[in-house]
Amino acid sequence: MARRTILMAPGLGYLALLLIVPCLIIFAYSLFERGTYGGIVYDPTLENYQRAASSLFARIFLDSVRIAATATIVALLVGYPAAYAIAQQPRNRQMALLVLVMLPFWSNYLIRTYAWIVLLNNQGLINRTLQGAGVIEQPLPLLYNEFAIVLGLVYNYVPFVILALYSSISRLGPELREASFDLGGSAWTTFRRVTLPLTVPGIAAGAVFVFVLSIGNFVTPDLLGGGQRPMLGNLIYSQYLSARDWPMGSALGFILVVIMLALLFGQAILSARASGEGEARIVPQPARVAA
Amino acid sequence: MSVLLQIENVTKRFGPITAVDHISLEVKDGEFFAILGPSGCGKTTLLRVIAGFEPPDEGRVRLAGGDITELKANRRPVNLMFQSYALFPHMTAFGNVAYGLEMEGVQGAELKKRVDQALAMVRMSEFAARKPNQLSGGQRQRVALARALVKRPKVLLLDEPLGALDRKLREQMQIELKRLQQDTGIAFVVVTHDQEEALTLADRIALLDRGRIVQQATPRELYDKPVNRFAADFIGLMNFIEGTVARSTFQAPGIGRLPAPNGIADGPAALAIRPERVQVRDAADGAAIQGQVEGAAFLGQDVIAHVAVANLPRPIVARLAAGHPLSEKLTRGQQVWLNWQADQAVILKD
Ligand SMILES: Nc1ncnc2c1ncn2[C@@H]1O[C@H](COP(=O)(O)OP(=O)(O)OP(=O)(O)O)[C@@H](O)[C@H]1O
Ligand SMILES: [Mg+2]
Repeated sequence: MARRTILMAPGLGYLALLLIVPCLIIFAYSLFERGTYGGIVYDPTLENYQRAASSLFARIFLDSVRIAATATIVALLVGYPAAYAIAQQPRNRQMALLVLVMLPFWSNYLIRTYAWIVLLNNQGLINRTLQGAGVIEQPLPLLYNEFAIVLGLVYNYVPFVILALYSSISRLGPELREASFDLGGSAWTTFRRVTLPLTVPGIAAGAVFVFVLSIGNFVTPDLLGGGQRPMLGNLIYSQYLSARDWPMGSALGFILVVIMLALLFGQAILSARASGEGEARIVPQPARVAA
Repeated sequence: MSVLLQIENVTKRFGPITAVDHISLEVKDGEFFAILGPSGCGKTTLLRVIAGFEPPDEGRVRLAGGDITELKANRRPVNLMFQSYALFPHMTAFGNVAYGLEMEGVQGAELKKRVDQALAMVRMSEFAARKPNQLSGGQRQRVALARALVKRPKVLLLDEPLGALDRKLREQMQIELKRLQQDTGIAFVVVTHDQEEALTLADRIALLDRGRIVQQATPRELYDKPVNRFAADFIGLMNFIEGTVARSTFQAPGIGRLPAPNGIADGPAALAIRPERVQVRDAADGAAIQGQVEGAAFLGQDVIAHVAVANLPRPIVARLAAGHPLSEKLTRGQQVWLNWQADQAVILKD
């Protein structure tokens, strides 16, 4: 027990210093008033949270949830088949494919996002190609809208979804699927009743990942959404840096942290429950001997 | 009994490896058939060909007269019990057994009745609500068995069904397996690398070596009349004495003529004799071989004696049954005389 504590100490220290302490500071700030010229007036108040519930903020909040949820679902729909296909490959090829999946991360996030602007704008590659081929007359509105934001978020986070799902699917092995076939199950039934339920931990991990990163993201909504659809991340950003209202920014930030923790907690429970099922752990009990 | 399952000249290759090499065999209605062989000889592959998971490169698989070689695994009236059981970890024992019936469209009361019956058959009724990780190895094995049996397949394939169990549970489950097979009348094809298990359970055995069938016979035949050294060595304990056959008699160099059956072609050969068929006496009276006791071990009832013989590289092992006049008197270095009946020895050419 003592040794375990010692081994965990560096990790726990890191978490405490860089996560828990800042969160507590944010929470403390959120309970005070803003000064007239920025800064903080140390008068305790719940006003920031009341304002967060007002219709303006609530709308942005709901928009953010909708966009993040859409990105999550699309990323899962794109990532699952890809992860499944990779897990079916011969071992050595699996590694190569996973490296390819992660390849975009070797370039800068901003550069990749700007590349999408080049592709999506009215004179961009896609619109010009389609116009050139005579498929469309007017350029399609591909950029500076919700579609572009979702696309950017999905593009950025799909590799993580693939990794999370891959580890879950590849751990499953072919035997359970074969058992299902053997018992008369079709490919679809086998997927629905065996593969899918057993990869829920991977799905949950991937989903939480995309959702949490999407809802807090402010670069993609800014660049690809053109500021048309500010998300929670943009709001917090502007409260801190433009409005110089730190207490309000802190209140919004703290709400975001609470949402993330709730999601991560839910996901941890899900995967803990599933890991008990996945592994062959034997509950000790007297062996029943047939008479 | 009519022929139920026919494997005709089946070959399965994995790249350069020929896992199953032109195998032909027949399983009859209601038979308990064992596929026996050392690790890596192709037992699992052969079973997977029958189940429909590995399309054979050559040959046909026939079931009850119909060709099922091209039939998909989920359409074959054949079920496989996996070596690792492959129980669905997210379903209870009941759910696991029900799964195959649900695939056939069985529902409601009928489903419950048949699943309950199947669980009762393997004495697992009280564990119906448990998930696999809450069951012991032996209990999982029973659930896997119930899951396959509930489908009432024409043939049940079992891949090392008792391999994961400890010795005691294993012996008990052997009896259970045999009982289930007799009660249901379903033909069982059991893969094992345990020769004792095959001898105890099977009506007939196919002995495999490196993808080929060495011998296909009843346990008695396999034990008494092995066709080559591999078969003789794989099944039970066997003494081998190298020598030559000349004019229908077996001669061992430095020892002379030994009792052996007639009618074997001349040439180099080995004489094989089971330890329990070696007679041990403390007087010469016409015995074939003289030797010296090297050691004797008490095995619960019987005594195993190692007898060193001049000009033989290895001692001859003899098994003295309980009550044998010498069984309690053998001492190290003692002179003994060995003999056996000619028709109990086997002459092996390869
Ligand atoms: N999917 C596969 N790909 C390549 N080689 C395989 C594959 N399956 C089996 N083999 C090879 O075929 C041969 C026979 O394997 P198989 O699993 O049938 O043996 P087995 O008799 O069941 O052995 P064991 O008693 O160890 O289970 C082995 O050499 C094995 O390495
Ligand atoms: Mg095997």
